[in-house]
Amino acid sequence: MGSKKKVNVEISRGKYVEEHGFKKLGIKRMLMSFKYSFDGLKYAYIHEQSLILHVIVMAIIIACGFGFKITPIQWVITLVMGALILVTELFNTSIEAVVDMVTDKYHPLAKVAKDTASAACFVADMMALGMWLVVFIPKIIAIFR
Amino acid sequence: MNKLKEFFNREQNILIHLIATILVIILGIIFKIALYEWLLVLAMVAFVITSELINSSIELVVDLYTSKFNPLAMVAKDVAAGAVLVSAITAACVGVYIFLPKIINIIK
Repeated sequence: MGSKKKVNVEISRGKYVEEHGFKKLGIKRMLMSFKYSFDGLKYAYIHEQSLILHVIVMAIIIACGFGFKITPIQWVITLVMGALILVTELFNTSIEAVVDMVTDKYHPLAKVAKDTASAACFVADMMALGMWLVVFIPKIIAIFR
Repeated sequence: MNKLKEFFNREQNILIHLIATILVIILGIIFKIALYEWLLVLAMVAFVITSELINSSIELVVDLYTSKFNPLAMVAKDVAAGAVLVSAITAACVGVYIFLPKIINIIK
């Protein structure tokens, strides 16, 4: 178990030299993991127009949260649903990239993959919208009384 | 045991998140958090583990398709890693919200 061998690995991310040994799980690997995550977020922010729209909606919701003075638990619900939306959107972008990588032409299963991922985004959107309405409509009604 | 080590060597993120989960559960028992706080902890754990597994799945699909470098493959993997980061940060924020007041109470 103590021996380490260097293996030349070429995967879709690029070439790198992997150490096959069990001694260190690698702080460097974790740091590279962070770097990849930030690269992904930057790419999604630049290239996906729907993500910018959702960020704007989140900003409006956060402003409403401060304006209406919602309780901390309601803050947690609001922000967690927003995070769920972001996560589903990012996975949708990823699946679209994978499908585009596999095929240029039309393929029925490609359509299934992309449509299903969009449906996941839609479900998350509707759930979050429902929760936000539950949180904010009583406050709006209380203002109008 | 060897296979387990090999698995965690390949998928390092899952090990980190499992350790964090166990830590949070122990902290929850120590601090005697309320039922709704346990529900929040459970929801965040489910969120993080789910997104982690979907990330692994996308990685494996991409590796299944190609073993050479491909710019779209980098996009797919990076964006999925970004999704895991967002879920982990959210879980950390909720954890801080649940535990920080209790920790401050104990320090006083």
